Amino acid sequence: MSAPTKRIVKELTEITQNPPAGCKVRLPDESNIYNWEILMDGPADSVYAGGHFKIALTLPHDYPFKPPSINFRTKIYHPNITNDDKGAMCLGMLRPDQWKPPNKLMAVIVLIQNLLSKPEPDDAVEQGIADAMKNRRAEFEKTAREWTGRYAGR
Amino acid sequence: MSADNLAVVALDFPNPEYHSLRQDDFVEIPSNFSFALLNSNIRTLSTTAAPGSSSDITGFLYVPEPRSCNASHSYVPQNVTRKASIPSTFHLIAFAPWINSICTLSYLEAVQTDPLRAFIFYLPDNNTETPPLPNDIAWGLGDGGSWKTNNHFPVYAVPGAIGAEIMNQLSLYSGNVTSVPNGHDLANFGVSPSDYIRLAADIDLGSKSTVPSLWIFLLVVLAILLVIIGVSSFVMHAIQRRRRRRLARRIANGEVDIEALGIKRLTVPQELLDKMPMYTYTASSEQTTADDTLHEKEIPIVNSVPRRNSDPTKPSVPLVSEASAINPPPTVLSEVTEATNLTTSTQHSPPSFNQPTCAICLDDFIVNETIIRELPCRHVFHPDCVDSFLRDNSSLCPLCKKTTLPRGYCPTNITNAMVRREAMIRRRGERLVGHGNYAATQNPVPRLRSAVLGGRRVFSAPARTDSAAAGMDVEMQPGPNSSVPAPQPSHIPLLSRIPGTGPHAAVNTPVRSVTSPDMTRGSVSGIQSHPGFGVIAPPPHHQSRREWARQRALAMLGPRHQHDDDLDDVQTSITAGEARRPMWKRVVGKVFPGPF
Repeated sequence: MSAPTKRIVKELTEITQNPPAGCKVRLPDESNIYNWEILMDGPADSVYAGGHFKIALTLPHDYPFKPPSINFRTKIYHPNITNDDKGAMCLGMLRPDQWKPPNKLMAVIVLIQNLLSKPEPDDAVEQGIADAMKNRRAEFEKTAREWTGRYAGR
Repeated sequence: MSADNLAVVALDFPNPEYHSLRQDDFVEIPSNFSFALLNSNIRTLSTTAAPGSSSDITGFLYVPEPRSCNASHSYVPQNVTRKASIPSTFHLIAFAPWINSICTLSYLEAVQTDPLRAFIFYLPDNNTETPPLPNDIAWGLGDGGSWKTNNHFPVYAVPGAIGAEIMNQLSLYSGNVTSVPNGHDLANFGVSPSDYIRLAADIDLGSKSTVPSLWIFLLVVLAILLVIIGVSSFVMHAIQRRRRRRLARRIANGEVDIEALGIKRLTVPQELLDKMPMYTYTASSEQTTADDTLHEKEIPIVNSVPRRNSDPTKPSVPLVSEASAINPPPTVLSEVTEATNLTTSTQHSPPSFNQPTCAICLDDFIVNETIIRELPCRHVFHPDCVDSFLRDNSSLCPLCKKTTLPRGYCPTNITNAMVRREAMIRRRGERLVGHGNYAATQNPVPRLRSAVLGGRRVFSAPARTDSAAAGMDVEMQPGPNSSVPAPQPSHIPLLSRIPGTGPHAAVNTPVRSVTSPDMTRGSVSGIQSHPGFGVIAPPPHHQSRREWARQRALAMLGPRHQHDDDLDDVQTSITAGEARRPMWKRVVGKVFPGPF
């Protein structure tokens, strides 16, 4: 087993055995450990509460030297997640220049959860949503809950 | 070519019947003994078969004998120079009055078989002005001007007064030496009686350049401009070259780390990797307690080892680790020792490895069994893991992001773009910090560098989400960080990030301790403050930032699925930046490197 595969299996085992609260990780394709699927419940204290979000986590082939990429498969109204069919999220330690090999995927998942709890409108990829969040908080929360119910409902 | 002027002189030359003529046999009779004329009022009627510019038409003057022109008798003296009075084989120039069209036609007809170089007419009107233009009615022969092109010689016209005088002189210079004016004096002077003295004409076709003076002026201006451009280009190239060399020197001296600044992604060549020391991993838990005490006091002297020359031939020196496998000190520790060992380098102790796990493959090291490679920052990894990372991905330590390249090694060709970015970063940093402490500006590099790169980012945008991500920036070192007074729980990741840039500070200000949060915050607090975090990037330009983030997201999603994302991030963005520049800007930048 090659070194990156070994590490991925190790991390996968660790996360499967001891998953973060409200998260489930599985491999859509058992033969391809580079593509993970995360099922994440919206944090209870956030506007996404009650939602169930499907997230694709794709590992590069030279993981852990390059960061994984995160894609929300479930549409979400969030300033840091692109509002398109990709649903890409790229910030913090996921940035290629800030990624360090010691970073673990567990930390990545926790990062996503924290980002759902506390969006970062100052570092947004969806400026409209960020503006709404900063200036029209009520409207933002309403839309976010609406979307959560519409797209991320059970 | 139109004629500029006409010169007529008397030439003396020996009779070719007696000896063959050479060039210097033609002697011009001085003008005080003979006829000489120079007139610039010459009109060109036809340039047919005229030689090119800057050559003259020369030949002996003679008056042809028309078959049917009775009127010519009143203008042409009987004893005028005829073709017969000039030895054959010489170039000839015919000379005749323009009396009327019949006479002219018969003159032209008479010379058709002569070896003419040119024909000179004059209007017998005693005028001294330049004769009329070629299309004037005076030169009409009733054929619409086609006579001008039917000849095998060019045709010129001189003023009537000049023509009459030449005609008169031609009658004087037609006989033997003694019959010409001053002939006896000339004979006494040494001119042989058998010589010929005849009038020769020289029609100057103008030796001036054909380029009009305005063009010359423009050419001169252009040449001056080119010289100015060339000189300034040369000077700017020289300046850039000097800057490149200076940057290379500073990189070699370890003053600048261009990868940590986000200027250029570097890798470590295999031969340098081979020079990094390899050890067998050892760890002993006996010293744990003592070490922890030490750490709490923040005097980790035990760890201070003078930097050994990395020599792969002596890999296994006696190893005692002060680090516990159970509760290893955090990454920060090695930075502390880095700073302190400069002052306490008299103490010798064997290397110690405070990491129980390889941060890359997450496998634990096995005591006395695993071979590990130690980087200059004293972090240890499996050689297989770290070698491929350093060789193919980055020259920075995966844990602390300190460069692993040795001093004196300048790994790459320094380009002008790199010089520009480095200067920009330094300037921006000086402005932000105020007193120009470069070490301090390098310290918050991961956040600052993207901000300072402005519109043309090399790396990514500053990470605001660090505050969100902070709590779970799980790194290889579990366990509480006893060496750091930690009022806020969230600052642990901050510290674990700071060491990544700490080495730069260590290079410049060796005594600086990275573990002091106050100092860390203090050094950057001049920039901007944020509750809980020292560094916040300057406010972003939202539009460009959003666009950038989108593209980054697309770029991340696109190629990564198809092939290994081996593309060098920095390189790609630099190349893309170059490609975005318009062509003319790139050319100007090539000619004038530096500001563009």
